[in-house]
Amino acid sequence: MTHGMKTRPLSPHLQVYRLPLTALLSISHRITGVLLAMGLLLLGGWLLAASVNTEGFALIQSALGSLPGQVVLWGWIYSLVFHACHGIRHIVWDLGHGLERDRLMRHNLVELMASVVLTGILFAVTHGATDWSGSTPS
Amino acid sequence: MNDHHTVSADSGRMADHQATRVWLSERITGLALIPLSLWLAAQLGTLHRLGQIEFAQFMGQPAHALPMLAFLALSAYHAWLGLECILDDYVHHPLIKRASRLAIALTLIGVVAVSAFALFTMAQAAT
Repeated sequence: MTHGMKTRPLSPHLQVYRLPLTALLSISHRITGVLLAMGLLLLGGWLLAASVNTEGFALIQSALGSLPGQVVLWGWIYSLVFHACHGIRHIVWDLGHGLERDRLMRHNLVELMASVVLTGILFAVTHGATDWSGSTPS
Repeated sequence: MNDHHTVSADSGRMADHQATRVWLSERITGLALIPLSLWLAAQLGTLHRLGQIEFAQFMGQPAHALPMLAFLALSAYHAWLGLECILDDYVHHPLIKRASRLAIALTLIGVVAVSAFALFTMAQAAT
């Protein structure tokens, strides 16, 4: 890269172009990926606190139980489900299917609905709808 | 250093099976992560209600510790592959890129190591 390249002006692109839904889902896949990676750090910290830090763990549990904590937790869970749904779509594309324009739009909506419905089911199940989650609600 | 994402002077050799292996690793770890993720999400929905002793007893059981560890290890590797793509797209300065890759790798390995330690500790206390 030459010195001159850093000072060249660029035409506005991302600030002005209206991205199609497929493109928005694509960048969301990347964004959720980063959020999920960051969550791994918190997950590790949570396990560590549970194993060696009684006060820290109690603090984390009460934070998770609070409303903002639940919003963050379920936001992360939704990111996980969304990322998985779009990831499945990538595999479908790898197999050569769903690349036609009308299919793309239809699958966009299918994917979004699936992610919301799946998260909703997870929420319902973990709040007493059925008992197969395996742990005891207090 | 064989940076499999960038083109180098011997780009003819770069165009070998590395890209295929990365692509395949992403898909295989991704697929394995689907059931593990559903399991984790279900646990996350309820585990915040437990006190430390109950939590440790729960996570200490192999039936829970093993899928948790599997999720963390596979996610760390899957995240590594994805984050490398992000670096390739947005970071071009060679030193910054190298430092970032190293930091990310150490962090991910650290998370898995710390989690394995935590789970092992809880498993020992549970028996």
